[in-house]
Order: sequence, then structure tokens, then C-alpha cells
Amino acid sequence: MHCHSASQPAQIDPNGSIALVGNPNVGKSVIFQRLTGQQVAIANYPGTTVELARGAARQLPGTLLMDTPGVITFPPHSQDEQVTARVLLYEPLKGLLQVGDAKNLRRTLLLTVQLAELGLPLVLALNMMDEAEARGVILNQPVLVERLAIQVVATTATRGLGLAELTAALGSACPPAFRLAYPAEIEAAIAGLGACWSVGELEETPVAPRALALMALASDQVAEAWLRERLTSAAYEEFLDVRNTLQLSFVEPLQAVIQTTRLEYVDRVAAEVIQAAGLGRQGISARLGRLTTHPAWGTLILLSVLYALYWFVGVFGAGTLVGLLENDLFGNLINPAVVNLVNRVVPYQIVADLLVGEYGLWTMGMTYAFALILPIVATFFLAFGVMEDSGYLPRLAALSNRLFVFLGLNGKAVLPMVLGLGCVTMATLTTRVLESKRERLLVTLLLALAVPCSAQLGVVMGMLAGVSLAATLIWAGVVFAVLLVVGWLSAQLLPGERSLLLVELPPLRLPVFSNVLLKTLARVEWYLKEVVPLFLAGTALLFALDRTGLLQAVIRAGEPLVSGWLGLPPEASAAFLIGFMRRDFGATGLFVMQTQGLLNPQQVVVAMVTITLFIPCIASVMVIARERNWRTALSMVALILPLAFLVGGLLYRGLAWIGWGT
Amino acid sequence: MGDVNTPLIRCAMCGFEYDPAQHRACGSCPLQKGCQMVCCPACGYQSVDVHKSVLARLADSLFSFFIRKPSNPYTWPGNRAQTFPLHRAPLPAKRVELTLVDVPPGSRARLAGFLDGLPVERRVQLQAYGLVANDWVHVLQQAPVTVIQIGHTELALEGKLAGQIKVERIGPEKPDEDR
Repeated sequence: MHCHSASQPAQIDPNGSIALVGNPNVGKSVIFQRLTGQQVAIANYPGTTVELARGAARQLPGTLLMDTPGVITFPPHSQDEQVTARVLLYEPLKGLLQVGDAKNLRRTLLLTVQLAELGLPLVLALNMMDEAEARGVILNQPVLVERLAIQVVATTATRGLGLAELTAALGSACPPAFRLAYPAEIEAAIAGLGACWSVGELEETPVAPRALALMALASDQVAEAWLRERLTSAAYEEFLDVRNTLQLSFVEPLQAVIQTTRLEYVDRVAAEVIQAAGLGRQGISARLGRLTTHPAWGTLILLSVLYALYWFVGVFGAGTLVGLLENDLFGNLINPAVVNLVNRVVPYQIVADLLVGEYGLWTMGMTYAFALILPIVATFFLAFGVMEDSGYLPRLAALSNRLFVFLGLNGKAVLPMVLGLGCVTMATLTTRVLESKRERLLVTLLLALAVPCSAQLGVVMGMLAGVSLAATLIWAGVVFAVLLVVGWLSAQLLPGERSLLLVELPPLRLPVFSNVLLKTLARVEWYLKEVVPLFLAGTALLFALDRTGLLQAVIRAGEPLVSGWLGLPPEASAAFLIGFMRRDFGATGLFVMQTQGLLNPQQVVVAMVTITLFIPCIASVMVIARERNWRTALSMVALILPLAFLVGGLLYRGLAWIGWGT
Repeated sequence: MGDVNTPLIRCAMCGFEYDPAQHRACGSCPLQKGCQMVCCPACGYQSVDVHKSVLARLADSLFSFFIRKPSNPYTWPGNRAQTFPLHRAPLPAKRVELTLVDVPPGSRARLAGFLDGLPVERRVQLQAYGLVANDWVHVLQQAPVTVIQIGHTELALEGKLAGQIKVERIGPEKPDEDR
């Protein structure tokens, strides 16, 4: 080891933030939540944090903490890792808190070395100490502190252990006196670049010039972009010349040479620090974990999980709970009372109708949102919370890899796809965990087309459960077939190569009930905030169309498509019209038609397939436009809308031909 | 010469192999605008340049999905990595490398590095996960993907990726003697 003086950063902003950085799934978000008291999404799989969360540290006045997406190593590989790299270069920072897994010290230290080189005050939290101890891992912490010249705190964040010490360490952290010596040619290039780049150009980042030079020499795209923005074109060309000339001195790419130097150092430190490496995972959890990725047993477990989800959300949530809320609570108690009150208090009939009429804000908008959607969404998020905290989702990536290879993707795509069953908008953001732009685009299309969100899924399940299991299987089969065909065709047409699956499988854990419950409540609250205004706007639109007579015109205009092509009653036009706002709102309109006996089983299946494939909600379209661009978002809408009606019409004819459900 | 990864077209008429990207005669052809064909420099027989035609690419992918075509290396760009660069001089008989996909489930393997074709970014990422030469890994399963345990981490790797990780030897675990 070569330790000299600290690499001083260009500028440390005393009012800046402290960024939490670390490998994926090591508990950064738990520590962030404990230190700030702010609720963020936490789950037992990598990639939960796709956006930055900021919050004031409760015990450190005037200090803002930032939770960043997990990163394995720099240069970053995926879009979410790039978010973290950008934080380091672009944000005014006054320090770093690295959260590492105590069990996986080598991997933790590889990142520590890179963070220490940045020259910012750094504290290392060796988290998950309880798991490490349970597996017999023994670390010599004083040696680690001595070698890295930073403060190291052992923590078990889920139980709040070590957090007081961590806060104290953050308050007194200093820039690390750490300097790793690279091969002489690289050191010479770093010195040369440091001399070329004027101080003024580098003042805008808190990162030490040495670290910046190393990042750029390792072809870090974020660092390259940062330099391109700030250096003159001549200076940037000079840097490229230096890098190209330096490369001639090595057989291996520079990135690999730099990594090898770091790995050798990490190996030496780890050999001194790890007193006992402990045993790998044993016991029921490990065995069950292996069964979940087994080709046969894994499939059986997946089918069981899907059936349990269907029963809990479709039968219990959409059947029992919706029945209790819609008929007993709203139908018999709340709505008659509200109607009575409004009719007595409001003197104008039109206002009363707007509130409690056929298309009333309360009797339709609020009743749909609270009596129909809320129980379905809540049961889904509860079930989903259990699944994600158990660590089952990444195992699905391994199990489903072959299917996604067929779609030109890899198994990692299952994470946004399953998240899409919760909320397509959130899942579109999660596509950032995928490695290439092509993969992100493909998954975004599939999410927008064929993945129903929890609210819609619940309504669909509830309606289909009321018909027969065969109806559910037909719906699922058609939607799945469309997903396969469109996915496969898109993969063939989009140029570019598929990246190969590499995913970490976190241990299966028993979910912590309080965490699942809190997360469900937070998601339900977020969902209601998003859904209620749109439901009210949709109801108001229907009311206005009804009053002006335009609704009948819309129904008549839609009749050739809705009745002639899809074989549905003309009134279904209204459901599809509001489906433009939210697919689940449209589905709920169809649900009400079914309860009124207006749809036969065949029509239920056709309507559900069409509304499932219908365009995603407004929020999703906005997010697609933000993540990609408006052209992509509108192209997707232009593809999805006719496709939904085409498939629905073909299904109607197919079912009519075999005589099913009439 | 073009990119070594650019697959060649093998003329269906005379068997001559040529690189469509290096086919300069096209530049002087009066019909070149919008043309999606390429002519064999040896016999003039026209083949479809699947890089230029979306429909041909689609049909090619469709056929190659149902019918395996090992003899025809000219596939669309998405499959380039799977094709053999024929316009290089024939390589000498290659020594068969033992890789992670060859390790039976339940066995341990000592890593020996990576095959040359693996991009450096992926290599660096695998090293960061702990897949470093001379380290021992425990192979837990090989289907549907390769699952390995390294230290306290379980990783799932697609077979093609596992096939890029060289193994020095397979055997019972004695990591201490080697580290």
C-alpha cells in the first residue's frame, strides 16, 4: 500500500449534502430512512432506488442527506448507476457515507477505494453486521480503519444498531489521507492531466482532480461528459490524445489496468482484515431459495404464487372487500346519506346532479375510487410488498430468463414488468436498471401495452372471477400472446445487441410486517393522490358530455367500433372514453356494466382484453415522454390504441366462431 | 478491411465469401439508390443485404428462429456476436477452454480469468462481484441459468456469460491452499 497525503478536492461546499453511496441492496435506504425519518421505498432486491431521495438528517442540523441508486463499481454500467456517478460530479457535496455489506468485504472495499480517491470526507458503514455475525464472519475493524484512514462504523440498520455512532462519525468526518499508487505510466498521465486542466475548470465539482483523471482514463462516460462540458475542445482533444498514448503502454484496456491495481490492493487489505470468512448461507432459507430458481420446482412455486395472488387480490380484494364496501358501506349507508344531504342543502338541481347524479363526482368518481379501486389496490400492494421484501423477485429474473431472451431482453426485465403489475408509471422509471437504451425502450413498450396496473388487474380479476376460470385463462392467454408477439417483433426490428443476464440473488428473508404495512400505506396514499383527481376529472367530463348531449353522440359515434367490431353494448363507449384517462377507470365502468347484467361472459372477456391492451394512463404517458421523448410516447400510443381494438375484435370473432360465452 | 465482427455473405451461386460493407462496386451502380441487394464480386449473383432491408431482417430472424442455419453466418446485426468472423485467416486448432458452464452443479471451481471476447466493461463488473482469477466459486445450478455462490453472494449468470469465464480446475473446495 502506498499512503501519502490526501488528494484534496477542488472545492468542498460546507452547505452541501452528504451522499449515501454503496453496492445495491446493502441497506442504504434503511439507513437514509433511519437518519432522516423520511419514508422511501425499500425492498429486498437491487434497483429499488431509481431516483434520488433527499432529506434533512435529524441529528445533524443543516445537513441534507441524499440516497443514491446502488452501484457495483465505477464506471457505471446502467442508467441508475449513472445517476449515482452524476451525483458525485455535479452535486455540491460535503461528504460521503458509504454503506457496505459486512459479509462481502472485498466488494465493499473496491468501492471504498474509489470513493476515498474522490477526496471528500468519507465514512464507511459496515451494515448487516447481524447477518455477518450469524454466518461467522469476523472482521478486524481497527486494521481496516488504519489501512483506509477513514472512520468505519459497524451497523445493523434494520434494528437501529450503530446509528448513533454513525451520526457522530458523519459530524466529524475528514477527507481521507488515502492514495493508491497506480503503474508509473498512469501516474505520469494523471500528473500531466492535472497540470493541463486549469483550476477554474475543475472548481465546479467537489471531486479531487486525481480521481477525475482516473475516471476519465477509465472511459467513465459521466466523467467524459462532464469534462466535455467544461474543457475547451482543444483541452479535451489533448486529454483524448493522452489517453490514447497511455493505452499504447498496456496490453489490457486502461479500465482493466486501473481495476486490477485496485483489486490487488483490496485483496491485501481484505486478507489482513477478514479473520474468519464464515460459511455460506445454510438452512431452510438457502434451500428454499435454490428451489425458487429450479427449472421445475421454481415454475411450480411461481404458479402457486400467481394463484395466491389471484385469490388474494381477485377473489378476496375485488370480490369480498369490494362487495362489502360498494354494496354495504357505500350503497346502503354512505351514498344514500350523501344524496339526501346534497339534495336538501344544494338548491340548484344541476349542481346536485354534478355531485350525486348518475355521473356525480361523489356517486361515481369517489365511489369508484374508494369502494372499487381502494380495496383492490391495497390488497395488491400488500401482497406485492410481501413478495418484494422476501427477495423473491430477483429469483424470477433467473427463472424467466429464457422467456425474455425470446423477447430480445434478459431476465432482469422481469423486475420492471412485475413492478408494472403494481403501477406502470413507477415501473417505467425502474427500466433504468436495464443496461441498454434498446432494452429500456422494449420494456417500456411492453409495460405500456400489455401489463395492467394493480387497480386494473384487480378489476379485471374481479370481473373474470365472477365469470369462470376459463374466462381468466382466455384473457391471460390472449394478453400474454400479444405481449410475446409484439415483444418479439419489436426486438427483431430494434437494432442492437441483447445484454446477457447478470443479477445478484439476495437471500430469501421473512418480510418484516411493519415495513410491508408502512410501504403499503405509503403506496396507497400515493395512489389515491394520483387517482382521485383523475377520477373526478373523468366524471366531470362525462357529466358535461351527458348534459350537452354529446355523450349520446360519442356513444353513437363509437357504436360501429364498440358494438360492430367488438360486439359490446353501445354504452361501453363511455367506458373506453374514460379509459383514455386511466385504463382502470375505464375497466371500472365496464365492471359496473357487468354488475348491472349488461355484459355476457363473452363480452366480459372481449372488453377486458381490449381495456387491458388499451393505452396506459396519462401519468404513464408523461413519464414515458420524460424518460424517452414525446415522439416515442406518442408513437407508442399510436401503436397501442389500434392494436387493442384489433385484438379485441379478432377475439370477439374467434369466441363467436367457437360459440363460447354467448 | 471492415470490422472483424462483420459477418460475410457466402454467395449462394458460387460459394465465394465477401464483405458487403467493402463492396465498392455498388458506388458506381446507377441503381444503387434504395437498393437492398449486393452482388457477388466473383459471379455477379445478387443476394439481399439484410442490413439494409427491415423486411428481410424480419424474415431472416423468423426463419432462423424455427430453422437453425449453422452454415449461414450472415445474419442481421443483432446476431453478430454469434457469428464467426470468416474473413479472418483460419485460426489454428483452438485449445478447448474449460468455463463455468462446464462445471457440474454442486461442484466448486477455481477461476482462471476470462475469454478474450468478453468486453472490458463486463469483465470489470464481474471482477467487482468477486469473480477474480484464482478465487473459488461454488456452482449451485446450471439451468435455467448458471447460479454461483462467491463468498456470501449468489449470482445468476446467463449461460453465454458463464461460458466466457474460464475455469482452471474443478474439484472439492480447498480455497485456503490456493489463496
